[in-house]
Amino acid sequence: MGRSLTEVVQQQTSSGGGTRSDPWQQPCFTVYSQEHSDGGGGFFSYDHNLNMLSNVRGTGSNHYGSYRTYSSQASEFQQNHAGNDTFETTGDASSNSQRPSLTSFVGYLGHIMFMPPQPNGFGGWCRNGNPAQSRSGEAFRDVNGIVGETRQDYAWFTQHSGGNHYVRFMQRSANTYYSDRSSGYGGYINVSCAWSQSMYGGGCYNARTKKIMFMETNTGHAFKPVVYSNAPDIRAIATNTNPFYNVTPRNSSYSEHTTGELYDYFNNAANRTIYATSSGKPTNNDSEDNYRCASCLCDNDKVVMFQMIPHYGCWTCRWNSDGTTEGNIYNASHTTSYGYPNGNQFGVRWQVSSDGDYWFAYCPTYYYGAGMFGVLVRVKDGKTLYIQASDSSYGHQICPLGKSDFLMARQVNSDGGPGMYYRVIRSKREMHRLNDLTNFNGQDNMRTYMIDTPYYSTAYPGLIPAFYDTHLFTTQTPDAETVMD
Amino acid sequence: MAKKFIQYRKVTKGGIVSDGVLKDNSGVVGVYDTAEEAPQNMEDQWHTYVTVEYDFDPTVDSLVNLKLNAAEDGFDKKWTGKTVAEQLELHHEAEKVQSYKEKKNRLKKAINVKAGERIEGLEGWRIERAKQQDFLAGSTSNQTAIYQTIETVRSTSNTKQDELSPLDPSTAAGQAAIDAFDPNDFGGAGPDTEGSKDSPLLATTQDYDHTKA
Repeated sequence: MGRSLTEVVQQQTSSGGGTRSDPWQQPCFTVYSQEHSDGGGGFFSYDHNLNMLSNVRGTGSNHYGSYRTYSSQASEFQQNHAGNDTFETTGDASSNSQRPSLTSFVGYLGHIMFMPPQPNGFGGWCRNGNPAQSRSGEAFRDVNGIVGETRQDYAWFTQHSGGNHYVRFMQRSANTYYSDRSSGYGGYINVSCAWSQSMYGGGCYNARTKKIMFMETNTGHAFKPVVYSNAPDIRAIATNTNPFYNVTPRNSSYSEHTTGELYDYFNNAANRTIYATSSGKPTNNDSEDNYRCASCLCDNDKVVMFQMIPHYGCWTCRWNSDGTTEGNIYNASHTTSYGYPNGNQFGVRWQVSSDGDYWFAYCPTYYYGAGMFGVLVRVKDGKTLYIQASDSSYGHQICPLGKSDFLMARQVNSDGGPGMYYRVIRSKREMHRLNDLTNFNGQDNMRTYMIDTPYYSTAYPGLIPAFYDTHLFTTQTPDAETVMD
Repeated sequence: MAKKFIQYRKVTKGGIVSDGVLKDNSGVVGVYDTAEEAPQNMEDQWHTYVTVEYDFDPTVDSLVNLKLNAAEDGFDKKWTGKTVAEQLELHHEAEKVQSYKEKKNRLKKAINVKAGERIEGLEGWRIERAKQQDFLAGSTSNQTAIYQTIETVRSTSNTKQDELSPLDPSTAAGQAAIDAFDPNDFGGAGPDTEGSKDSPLLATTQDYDHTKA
């Protein structure tokens, strides 16, 4: 006798273990604020529904075992820094170099000052004062773009070294990158420049098109994308801790790698297309706008490069699918601002939506970390919107939200209880609503009294992006385009 | 010169408080080609915003040179007869002063907190021990000694505050003295040797790694 069987679809499990049916219940970000004398502070974590997942809070002075910075040390936080400026949130983002609310302190690797919130919902933890800012800052400086990727559990990095890219593939971890790079034991692939000079970061891997792009520069602030086709599975390389990629025999030197299949791939001119030289850069200033940028390699082979120009502002160059340059498509200026030469923790940053379809690059506009210039790019076709927030006080911090969206926060003083100022950036809707090269005003119409902050009085809170299973937003949600069809 | 729509932030409470120092953060927050492009509903509890149509020439005025006029229909100039580079430098000087005011205030708080921590460390079981020892010995000498130590922390911290108070954040000498000031070094505690300090603003607007073409 026969019987009919119903296929049971295997559910994707989160990295926290078990089957998770609702990707929105994963951690999205944590709000941090603190005052070191008698206020205390802590971590309030939120999920992708903007509901609180967990909260931990300590009281102020004279209560041991609490979250408070001591004058000579933080009693619970790891630091060697003899000051209260590092972890406090009582100062704004313009004139203070080490406050959690600075725009450039947030990016694909989370928050420079904090361990990211984990899949179990716990809120995050401080890194060690300003030494750690500089060290994790190396990873934030060097991390390349990843787009068209739903499994965002890895990262790849390039380090500027004259005419060679030092390239590393690994998990999505600033700490691991710092260890690998600084210890010399991590190994790297040495990719010779096809045109001139390498950069810190600035590359992009499009997992959908299997293409990988290095941005090259010269000493004169000009740029050329170099696009490699038929790229190997970068995630497989990164997550298997195998930067050597089938080297046989394995290179005995762990300091540099100039042999092997991956090395051969990147150093084979037949695999690459060199785009035209950039044009229309409004001004030149220093190394940040010579040896750093953030770039997006789109599905149609367009390339969008966003670059901070310290003491000026920013500019954006876009290349066409055929490699010709469209030139400068958006630039803006404000006043004094600082890039990586003033500290690894400063400069341009980027984020990508959970589905890998929208890429957001940005930089502060004003001094250490206030304001935001940025571009939101649709990976499918390179359509670009921009944000221009020449704010002289408030950091603007952003993290992915849900499948395609972002959460934008403006770090206004939360004294009086409005909590963190925030707004959801609906990427698909913005792209439908606005024409190419339009201002989408991500900083306006901020909402209040809905996301609590851990310290009530003067505080400019920090937003700590969470790490979560980005792939769940693709596997456990229907495809909207299919539904509409 | 081109007609632009300039959004300006006005302070409603004199400014914002940053590290205990009031800061007037009014100023231009955006320049747009059309009125529609300007951000909407930007208000927060510290600010209101106004958008003004204005002939703006970025080769003559930096954004920091524009100050909303009384009629709120145009801009006065913060500095007249200055180039854009000079305006930015003057603005930077003002920002540095603000930064050092905040730093001085942090140092003031740090002295008090350090004094509080040291007193906290002397109280509790040490006083209980002194009381018990004095009870057994029929004296008050142990209590007197520890109370005197606590009082010394208070008085030396006050002396430290008196050293900090005259430092002028608006002068180069005062800024250097604030940078060198050690809030730990009072009452015999010695200098702070635990790590690096915060980064003050650079001396000028373009004072690092300058490779300008």
